Amino acid sequence: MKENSSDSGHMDMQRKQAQYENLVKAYSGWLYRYAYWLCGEKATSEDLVQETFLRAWRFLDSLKEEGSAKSWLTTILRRENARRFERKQFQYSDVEMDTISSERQDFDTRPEVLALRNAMHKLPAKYREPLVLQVIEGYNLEEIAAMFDIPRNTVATRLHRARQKLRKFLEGEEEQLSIDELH
Amino acid sequence: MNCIEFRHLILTEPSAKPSDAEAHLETCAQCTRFKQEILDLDSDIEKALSIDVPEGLAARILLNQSLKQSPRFQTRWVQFAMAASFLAAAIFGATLLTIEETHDSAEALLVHANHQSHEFSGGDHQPISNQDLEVMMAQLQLTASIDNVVYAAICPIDGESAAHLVIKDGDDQYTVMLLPEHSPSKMYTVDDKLWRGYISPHPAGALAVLAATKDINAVARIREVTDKLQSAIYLSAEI
Repeated sequence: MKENSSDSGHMDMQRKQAQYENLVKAYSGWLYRYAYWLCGEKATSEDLVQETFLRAWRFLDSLKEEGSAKSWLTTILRRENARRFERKQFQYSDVEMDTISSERQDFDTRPEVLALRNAMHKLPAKYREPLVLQVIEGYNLEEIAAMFDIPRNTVATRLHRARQKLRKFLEGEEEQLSIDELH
Repeated sequence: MNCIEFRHLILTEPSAKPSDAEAHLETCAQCTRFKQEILDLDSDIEKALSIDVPEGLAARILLNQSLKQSPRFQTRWVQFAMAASFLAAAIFGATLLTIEETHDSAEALLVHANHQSHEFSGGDHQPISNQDLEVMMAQLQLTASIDNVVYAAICPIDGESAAHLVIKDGDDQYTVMLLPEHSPSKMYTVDDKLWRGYISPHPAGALAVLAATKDINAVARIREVTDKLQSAIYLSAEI
């Protein structure tokens, strides 16, 4: 029996929905953590993840290989984060009043951990991002290069400098960034 | 491989183990120590970057997607699946809708407040009479018992008629807006480039109290004004 176009549409939608739900369940946690280390704010991180998945839904057909889903979603999130700075943003918080002071209490607050976290925040984003992707998620240089659309050697240089700077920050040798690092 | 080449490799890819690097390790105690330091650093980074993912995040994302979908794309099956999948997330759904609605409204409020501040800047504005205030507020079936109102109008904000007041308190000035059609579930803070303040639930709608200040100490005062206005503005039927 020939499948009519309505049934076919239902099947497509079912498949798309199932694929989407799998992506959300598999990668929302990772994307939230990555967003947090891009923007440093929990509420903004969740907004970024929400926007990322809304965009992913719209362009899900362009994801050809399941194996590349994570880097595809990470790229979308990085672009969403960039858009955040392009458009005029009103800053308001939806944090309930009595929870503001305890916003970060679920962190490890030992001094050495705080020092390292501060050092990470001092790193320019161009160094921090590849480092997070390599250390936390185990991406190799080629994968990071593809995600950022930059040469492999550039990724290697940034990772090298990221670790060097991190060590200097932790040793208290480098408090200020030089001008060229701000670009 | 010499020490410089080895260290460059380790700073770039600490877990890489090419044969010439392994051979160098066997002959250089300093580079062995260096590699261990970098591996320890990476391990510490991993621990330091650990952050809890909020509970229900995936459910909220799926719910958000279902809400944003155009109805013409929603088959009955999808609707059924959504209902089943998101039953457990129902409470998050209510919160999400309210948050989105409030964010949109907050943006509309701030746009309007910015516009007003340009038009209203300069000059020594005198308080309007209680009678004028009463007539204006009555248009929204509201009554207000507020002194030192220097501006009062019904303004279109976020697609509805809202009360817009400016209150002077010494050198301070507060922009107050009440949107009758909105009902935020809780109090929100506003921290814009120009404005600080609160948007809070009010029996007559959403009450926004804003001040054009970056002074963090002003926030407590704005909160006091908000609390006072909560009881100073009421539905006319309550009289």
